[in-house]
Amino acid sequence: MKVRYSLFIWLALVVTACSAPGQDTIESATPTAETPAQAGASPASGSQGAPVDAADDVIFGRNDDGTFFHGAPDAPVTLIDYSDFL
Amino acid sequence: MLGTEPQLITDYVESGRVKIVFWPVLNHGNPSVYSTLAAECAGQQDPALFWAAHAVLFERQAELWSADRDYYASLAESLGADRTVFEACYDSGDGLAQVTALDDERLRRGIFGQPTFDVNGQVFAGLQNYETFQATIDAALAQQ
Repeated sequence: MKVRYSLFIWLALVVTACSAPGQDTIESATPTAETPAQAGASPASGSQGAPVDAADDVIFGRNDDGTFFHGAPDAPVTLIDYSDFL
Repeated sequence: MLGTEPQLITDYVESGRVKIVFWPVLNHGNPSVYSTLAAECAGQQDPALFWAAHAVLFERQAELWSADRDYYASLAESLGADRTVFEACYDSGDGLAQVTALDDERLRRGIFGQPTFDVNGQVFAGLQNYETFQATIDAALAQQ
């Protein structure tokens, strides 16, 4: 019985660790080989400021002002492209 | 920007050094408004869909002058968006309010022509080549 209980606790810890929520400011992390639509992004709203520390963590997100960004939210350089689709 | 963007993404965005922000400019009447609204509504479902729409809208620029609601809904659906949700956004007025608010804000910032680029506060009017972006970004990174 003790062994079963220990196994249950261990499994619960593993499941909790694996399902811990990511930073809620990140919309979607997209590996470079995929198109954005293939990335399986999360639908939550977000903003700037989440730390991203690896090249694979290039993301697509939304700033608090409503603009959309591509890149690490905390990148040292921000390039704003004011453009019309026409 | 679309011409230089892939190289900028490879060289700077993927390494976490540059974040590209798209700020809509509505300088061509309803075609500007509705194409931007389409990108907004795709982006409301997922920001990755905004960038997918961003690329396709620029590629199909010539078609946008006469594009209608159905055109944009089909486009969004082809990118993976939920068509019903997209249409609800397109019709609701909330998305429209968002894109017009951003356009108002860029006017308040004194941005009148497009494209205009702002790299950490350094503003460039008109199309720029890759080397200009590269030099400006490298200088900005050196100041960090």
